[in-house]
Amino acid sequence: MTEAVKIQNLSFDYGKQPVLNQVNFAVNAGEMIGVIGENGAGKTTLLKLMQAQLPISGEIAIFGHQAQDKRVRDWLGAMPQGDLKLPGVTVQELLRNLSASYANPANIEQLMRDNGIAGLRQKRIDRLSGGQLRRVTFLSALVGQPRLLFLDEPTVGMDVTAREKLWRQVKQMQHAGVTIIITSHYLAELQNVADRLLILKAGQIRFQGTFSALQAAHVQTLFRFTSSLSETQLLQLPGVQSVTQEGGYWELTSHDGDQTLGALSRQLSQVHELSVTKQSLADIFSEMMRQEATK
Amino acid sequence: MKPFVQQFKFDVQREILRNLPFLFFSLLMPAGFYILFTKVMVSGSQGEVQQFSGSYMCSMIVYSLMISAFFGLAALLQRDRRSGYVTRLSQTPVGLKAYYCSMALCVMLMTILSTGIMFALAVGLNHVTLHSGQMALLLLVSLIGELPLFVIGLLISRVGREETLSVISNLLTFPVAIASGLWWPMTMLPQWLQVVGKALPTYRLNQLLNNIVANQHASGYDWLIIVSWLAVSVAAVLIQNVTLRRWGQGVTE
Repeated sequence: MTEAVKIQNLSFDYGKQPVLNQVNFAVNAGEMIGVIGENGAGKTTLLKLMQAQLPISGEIAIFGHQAQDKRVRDWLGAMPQGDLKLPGVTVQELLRNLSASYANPANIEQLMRDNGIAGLRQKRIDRLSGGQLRRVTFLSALVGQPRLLFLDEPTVGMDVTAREKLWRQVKQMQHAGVTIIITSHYLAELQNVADRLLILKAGQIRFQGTFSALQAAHVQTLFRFTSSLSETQLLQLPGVQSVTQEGGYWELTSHDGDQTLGALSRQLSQVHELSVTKQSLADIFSEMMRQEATK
Repeated sequence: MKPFVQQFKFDVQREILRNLPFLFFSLLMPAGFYILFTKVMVSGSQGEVQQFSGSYMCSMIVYSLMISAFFGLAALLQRDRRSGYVTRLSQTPVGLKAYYCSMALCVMLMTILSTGIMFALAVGLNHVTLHSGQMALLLLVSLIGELPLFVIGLLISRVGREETLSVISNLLTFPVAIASGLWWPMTMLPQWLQVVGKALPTYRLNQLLNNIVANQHASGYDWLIIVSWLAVSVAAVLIQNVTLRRWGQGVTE
């Protein structure tokens, strides 16, 4: 499979402050990758480096060409974290202005229609609502019909409907063959759309793979119930890692939910109000960050 | 060529036609000062008044250029950077070349407008004698002599906060205008301030323009000072470019 991005031994620092340290990964063409990390983990810096916006120490290849190669820019689209709040111009003027720099620009009218903002074409950028502005910023990343799209916290400030619309469009773009790299704090959203995840911590990749692989490696099942069983008895159940009591409820974490559930079901007469929850991406991520912090 | 033409049309619209602060501070305010000091608050014989009208036209041209550079251009560049527009443009295949070329042309257009208005007032209102060759030369010298001012405008536009830029612009414009003798004669200033004033590019540009109006030869020393300021300010911008790029606080080319 063709590699859209290949990064080898990438490091970056702001003076004495290291941001990325020997990062290696590859993204296949047509893949959608979610990049997760705490604030300051290096996500935005990584996106900037892939667009050659910062000096590169290491190797970054975009569709087989060095990231610094100016031809590469024709294939890239980027939606930054901050919005394009340019006063004094209309939505249509801004999108036309940006599209003029690309060899194969999108049809701006069509783009606005497809994204449901045709009614905003004559509206001044500085008079848009936060959600509308975010949408225009998203479209500004599409004006060059990119093969590789970077989305940095794309849904911040959007309402639920706008988010769903954006993710639908992103999925459609992926189906059309566009490679997409997204950073987001809305981990549940990434869980739904990304093919693979890349977890950054202190400038290094702590995990890269599918969500299922992440679950298999880190998942915990949480059991909550009332019971007359003692803590010692509960700790002896298969797979159980920890037992705590809160508000009259027992809370168990297990690394093998099926085994634990099987054992509990054999003592159903002593177990009441049972609820079972598998960890979400957010839970796993928080747990990973906690584990890293205590190392 | 197409990206550049598109960029220029885009910039003229937003930076000149829809930019009320520019129209007011760079064009109307110097014109207002000119009318005030040459028609209302003026005394002396007719010859003295006419000579003063020619000389004050030069001062107000320089003042207008200074306002355009330290307030107009600096604020525009900062706004484009803070809004994420410069970063977005730098990601396109054309990069920032078309943007900076268009900016330079806009600056020239602003200069043509500023000088044009002052010519119209000086000739039409105060009957200053200026033939077309003099006007062309005044415009040409203004366009070259303003370069250090605009490079300094670019330099200060890179400060982080809007408020800081406003303070710097005010601290630069008004003391420099006074020290360069743009508002009142230099002889009224203390000796030490006259020495400082004579080392400023605005004073030297004013001298060059006055020489043209008085049909006198240009002084090489005036040009030397202006070119020195240009060299120093360009060097400062280059150093700033490297620093900004290294520290990731801005996008430069």
